[in-house]
Amino acid sequence: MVATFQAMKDLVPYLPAGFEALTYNDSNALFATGKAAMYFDGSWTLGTFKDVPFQWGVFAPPPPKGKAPQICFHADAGIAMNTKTKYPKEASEFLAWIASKDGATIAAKYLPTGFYPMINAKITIADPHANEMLALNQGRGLDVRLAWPRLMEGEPSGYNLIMYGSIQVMKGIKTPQQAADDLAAGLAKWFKPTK
Amino acid sequence: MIQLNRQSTLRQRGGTALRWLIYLAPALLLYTAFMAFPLFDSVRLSFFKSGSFLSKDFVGFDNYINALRFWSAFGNTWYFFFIHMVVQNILGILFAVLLMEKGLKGTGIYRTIIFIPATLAVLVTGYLWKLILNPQWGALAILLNKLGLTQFSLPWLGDARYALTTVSLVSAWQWVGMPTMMFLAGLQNISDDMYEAADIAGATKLQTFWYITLPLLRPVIGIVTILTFVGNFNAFDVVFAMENVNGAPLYSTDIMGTLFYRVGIAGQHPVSIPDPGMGAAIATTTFLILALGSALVLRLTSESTEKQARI
Repeated sequence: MVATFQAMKDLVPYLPAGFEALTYNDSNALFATGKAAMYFDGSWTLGTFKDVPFQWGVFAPPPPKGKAPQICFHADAGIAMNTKTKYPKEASEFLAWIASKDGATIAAKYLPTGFYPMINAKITIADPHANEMLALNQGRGLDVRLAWPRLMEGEPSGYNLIMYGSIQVMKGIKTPQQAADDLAAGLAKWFKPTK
Repeated sequence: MIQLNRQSTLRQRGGTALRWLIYLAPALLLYTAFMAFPLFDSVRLSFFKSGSFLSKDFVGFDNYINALRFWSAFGNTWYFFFIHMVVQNILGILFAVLLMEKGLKGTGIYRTIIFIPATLAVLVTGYLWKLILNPQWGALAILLNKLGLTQFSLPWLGDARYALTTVSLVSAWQWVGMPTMMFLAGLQNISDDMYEAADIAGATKLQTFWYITLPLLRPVIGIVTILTFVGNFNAFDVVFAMENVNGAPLYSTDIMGTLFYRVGIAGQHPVSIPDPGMGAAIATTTFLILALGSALVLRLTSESTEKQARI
């Protein structure tokens, strides 16, 4: 975590003036108006930049030296069958289809831009940027978001600890080491890792 | 004869009382159902663990004790109130005195200008100020940078050191018209004889203000203080419009209103379950502070008016 907080601190010189008071929408606007060259976000914002008058692409941040590259995804929704359903045969047939390459391709077509059906088969999406982003998964490890959802179930929430740690480090109020210690101490109050 | 008369008045009175009750009943019923009952029920709720609406897990003062970790919201609310008292209400007196000045042209225009912000919705003014204060394309940043004063072009809403002050000043700017109007009404009630006498005695303007205007305005100052106090301890909208309810940055703009909303109704961003029991505890605490504070100020100012009446 120390290295993660350090990485956040290293970004500060490249952030826009007054970044402390800029909102999510502001950063979208900075990128869309060409005032920001690079911009960190998830695939869900891809549709926002559909009509910008310049060419752009997506890339994955390089992993720390000696580490395998990872992509993190956020599981928004899942689909399952109720064991008490009156139509077990139909439901399992549907599930088998939606998890197949054909089903997932059709689902991807009707999902909002930047939302993907996560299956093992390689699928192609019409939106070039969405497709580019999905292709980043190839050859990289996949993992869920760090703080989501297990670290958020207690008080203080891991999400808030990471957020406030990042702010304090980026503002120079705390060192990365202090922020990492705070995170560990905060989580130690309630979180029991499962082995 | 006398006996009869009294009886008839009594009967008449009884009849009137019943008639009053009939007229009062709808309002009383509505008030009880929608104001008094929820108020007492929220006090009850604050002693229970949250869960279902008819929760039976009595936890005593646990919710209050747990709410103590948001102690900073309490301090922030006092600070919010302090800025309003200093900026909004002192400016209010100043504006009122200036508007009363004889020979000032266009008082109507000034009065309107001072009062206009108070007629706008807080969400609108909050959002406008958020745009003005935006460090990238806000009017203030552009102006300061053009003037070469880049060191003052700061992320006003993004730094824990000045975010709450900025929000408080925006709110004070918006509501300054209220105390101005009240002080103006108070000033108009002060007899001209007093000022004439002071003039003859050779008092300076400052002396006149200090020894005549200010003491005679005391009841108005009391009312304005109560209104500011109640308004500020219930405040929510201006912070919601400018910083949302998570007390950004670093809980520096967390006040009782936003704390209550976050804990009791919305849940902490991005996903958390609201805790109505603790929300009720915070609301009850706010209510007690308001009741005590208002009673205190009211007592102080009513005493002073009594004394004045006696003199």
